[in-house]
Amino acid sequence: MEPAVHTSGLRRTYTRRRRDTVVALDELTLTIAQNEIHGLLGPNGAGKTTLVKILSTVLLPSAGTARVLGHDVVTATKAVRSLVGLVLGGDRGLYDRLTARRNLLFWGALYRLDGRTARARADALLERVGLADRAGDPVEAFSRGMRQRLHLARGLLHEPRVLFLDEPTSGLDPVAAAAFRRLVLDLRAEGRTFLLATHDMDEAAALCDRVTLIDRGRMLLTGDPARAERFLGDRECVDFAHPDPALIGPLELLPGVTGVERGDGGTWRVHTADRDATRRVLGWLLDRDVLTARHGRPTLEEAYLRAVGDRGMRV
Amino acid sequence: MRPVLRIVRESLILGFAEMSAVYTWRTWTFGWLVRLLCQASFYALLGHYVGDDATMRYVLVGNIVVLACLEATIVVISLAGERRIGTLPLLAITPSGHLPVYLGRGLQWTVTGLTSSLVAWCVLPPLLGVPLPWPRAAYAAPVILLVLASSYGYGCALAGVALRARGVEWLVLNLAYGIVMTFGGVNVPVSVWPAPLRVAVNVLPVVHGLQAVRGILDGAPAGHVLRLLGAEALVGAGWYAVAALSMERLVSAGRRDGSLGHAG
Repeated sequence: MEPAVHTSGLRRTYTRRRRDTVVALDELTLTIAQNEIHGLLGPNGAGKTTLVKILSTVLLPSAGTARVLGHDVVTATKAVRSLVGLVLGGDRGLYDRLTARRNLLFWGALYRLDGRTARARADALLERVGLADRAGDPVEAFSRGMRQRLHLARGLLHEPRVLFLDEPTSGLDPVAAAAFRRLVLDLRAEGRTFLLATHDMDEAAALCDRVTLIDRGRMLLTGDPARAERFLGDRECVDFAHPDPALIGPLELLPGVTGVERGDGGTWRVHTADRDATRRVLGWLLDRDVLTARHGRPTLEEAYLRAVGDRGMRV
Repeated sequence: MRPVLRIVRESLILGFAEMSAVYTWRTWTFGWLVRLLCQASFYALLGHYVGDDATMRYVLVGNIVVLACLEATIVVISLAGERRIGTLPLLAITPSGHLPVYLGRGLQWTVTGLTSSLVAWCVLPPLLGVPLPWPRAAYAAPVILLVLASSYGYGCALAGVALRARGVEWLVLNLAYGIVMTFGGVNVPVSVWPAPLRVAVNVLPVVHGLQAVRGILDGAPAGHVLRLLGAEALVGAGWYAVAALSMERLVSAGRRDGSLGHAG
């Protein structure tokens, strides 16, 4: 079966301030099977949105190829556009002065749906995303979660087979985010394929069949979330409390210790590369009368942040 | 044809919904429309002050007809709004393509432009004591419609430019209208300009349509008026072609350089 998405050596660069070239995607090769929910994980500036834009034909690649259900995104733009739906996150992309229903009818006209079909689909989708009761309200009065659901309804209006969701739950409260994820799972059951660009590790673990980790445009790993967790989580950690910071200097020098973080109230977290290093740290602490320590694994998010490096706000 | 008409219909609904954020029918009528009537009256009275009754009629007719252009070119602002609210990339990837929407996004201003111009045409001349040769003067109405159409094409073409250079929509709108108002034969006949400028203004909307209106009022031969109308239609068609090219280029350049999704 034709993959839903296949990219090969995909590269995208931007020219900033005339001479400065930024690589947003670097030789990205990725295959997403049909009916899969694929998570694209990475921090801000990793290249997630760039990939989504290329696949949805908003942006041209600088090099390499990208195909959606066998259609090239550069040479078969029309075919791709009829097959894909793009769902943006955030407040933008909707007409605030129109009602939810009118927004969908507007986009229905652009997707060349006849009046009856557009009205029927708009009503069905509003019902499905839980906005039927607010169908006649202007979007400007909607909460973030309601807007997000309307974004999804808009993306589904022409019944695309592949949906690209760019940070769809960004800014949603946990209840709204969970409802949104349930909706995505329901839609997958109908045979749709999803590419979910997110930096939310928990969301990826809860929703995705496979995930791809990217950083600075390069792929770090593709696999099921458990494999990603193993990739990131071969690392372990040891939590303990000790009032004397002088203890930490020698601890950092132990083989296999990848870092030590200071917590609140004299607590510390030691990151280790493997199980042997963890044993070494526990023994070392025991020798120094630290009798209470907890061994564990960092969350996927912590491990991810450590894997891609801590670069703060820089993108 | 039906899909395009549906897009036009939805665009009009959207346009009037957005307009309702700024105006109610009362504030539009007693605020905006009255302001336009005052503007036309001001120039007409100035014409009377510096000239005579003929000058006053010349200036009044020019300022009434140009109202259609003033409102039609506000499409520049409506289109710039698409970038601000982040719909540009979504519009660009719809199967209909961006062009029908882009060309339809300011249609509400053509409705208000036609209303303003026609109300002014009926109200101001008797109010200011400027006699028009009725019923012949009624033939000005379809000409104003043509001027409106060509001006809208002009606005769409410039909107394509305004959308590329972000944050310049008000500058473009004011320049676009200012150029027509100053050089388009509204207050001063085109014939007074130096020869190169006289040639250049032929590409502006309003110029030929306004001359046609003056010809109708003066009882000019039908052939002469029709030639002027043909010229106005040709100028309008040219601006629509520029608009289509300009918006096509906006999208193709945006897909190349990544500027399509940028906020304004």
